[in-house]
Amino acid sequence: MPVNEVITAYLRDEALQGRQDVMLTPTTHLVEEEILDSLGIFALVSFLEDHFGLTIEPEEVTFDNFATIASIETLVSSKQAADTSQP
Amino acid sequence: MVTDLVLGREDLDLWWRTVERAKELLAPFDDGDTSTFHPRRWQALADVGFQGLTVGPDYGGQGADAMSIATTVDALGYACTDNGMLFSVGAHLWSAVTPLQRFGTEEQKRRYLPGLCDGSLIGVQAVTETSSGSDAFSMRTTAMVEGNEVVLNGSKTFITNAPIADVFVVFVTTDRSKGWAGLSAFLVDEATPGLNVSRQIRKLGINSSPFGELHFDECRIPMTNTISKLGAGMMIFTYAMDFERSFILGPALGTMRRQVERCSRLADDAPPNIRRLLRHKVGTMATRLHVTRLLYYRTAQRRALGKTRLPDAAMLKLALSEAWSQSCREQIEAHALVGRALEPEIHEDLHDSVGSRIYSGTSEIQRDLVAQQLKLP
Repeated sequence: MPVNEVITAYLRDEALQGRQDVMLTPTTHLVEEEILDSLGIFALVSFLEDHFGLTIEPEEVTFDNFATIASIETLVSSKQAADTSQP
Repeated sequence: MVTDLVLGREDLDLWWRTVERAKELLAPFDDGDTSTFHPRRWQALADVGFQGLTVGPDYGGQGADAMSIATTVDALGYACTDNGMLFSVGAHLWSAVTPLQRFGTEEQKRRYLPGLCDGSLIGVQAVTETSSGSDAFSMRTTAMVEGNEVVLNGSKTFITNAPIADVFVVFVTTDRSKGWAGLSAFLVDEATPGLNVSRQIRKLGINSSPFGELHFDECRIPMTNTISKLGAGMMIFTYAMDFERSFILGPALGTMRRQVERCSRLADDAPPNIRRLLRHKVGTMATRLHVTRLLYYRTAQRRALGKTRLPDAAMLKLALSEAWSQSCREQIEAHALVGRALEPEIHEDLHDSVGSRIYSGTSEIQRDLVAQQLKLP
């Protein structure tokens, strides 16, 4: 499953508790629309680390990186690319 | 005591060495008075290395790993009967020193860490406000950037060490529209104009740990006092809180061990029928101690392996606070069984344990975090 679909499915199930009435697009403002709150962000980070086998440093938990599904996808993809480029 | 099934030989040796060293340094100031902050006890604990456990030697600290930290903190709880002092040092270390060591600039670390480690500087974290207790991220104290300065306005309450602190790690909102992502952390020296430290707050227990309030009125600090960067506040707070919840009640293990030993000695002069009841009481206390001790060191081992998750510290803090509270009550009941009058330390233990289910996040918050891991609705 593509990265953005994994993230979208997670947010739909966990952050929105399965609600279908809230629109989730790659550019939905997750923080400003209170879809990703202070507890949810850490649950999401744990999920991303476990699902994609990554380590997300505290410095990477920022508004810019988690503002939208697209920005989260960029973060995950860049870390995956960095991992595969390691010898 | 039951043979140790948790610590290896090296850690056991560290535990005993720490106990002996701490008792030696604290002995001159062990007058039994834990009603107020005792500066020489603070310094004695700094001389043992408590205040700088997580900081590298380059900055004057001990550079201890997770298991050594856990072992040392446990041992200090056994050696030192001043629960309030241990709490004050813990708050200083976990909520101010540790995040500064992790996220501070080189200049900030050079400026503050040596003094924070050697006992000459006292640090504190300022988060709680009257309108935001458990909901810490709804804070209202603001920071406005004006050129190369930041202007703080607002108030903080129930701040551990506030009346005696030299430097504050203050959490404020720099952009309310971004919620958790709009929080920032700044270093504020006690003597900064516009900062007023007031009203030592009376509370139940840990009396030697002074609490107070901070008021910021057009308090200007350099932009270079920003910890990490604007918007990094929640990440810094959560990092600090994870350490705090993992270790702030480590001393309670030592306290509970003393309680088990004390109650065991009550059986010496008790009639046979009472002795049996005491055995049940002490057996329960000892079992609870060992169960929580296992969880404490397991959490430290997971941290050492880089495998901790938020719920780990929450589960530990919940378990330890509940265990300590129960153990303090049973200590009193054990004395009642033999009709023994209560020493002041026994009263103080009970009072000191009450706050453990509140600070660092109430037990309700910890239960919520644990339930989150179970993905409960």
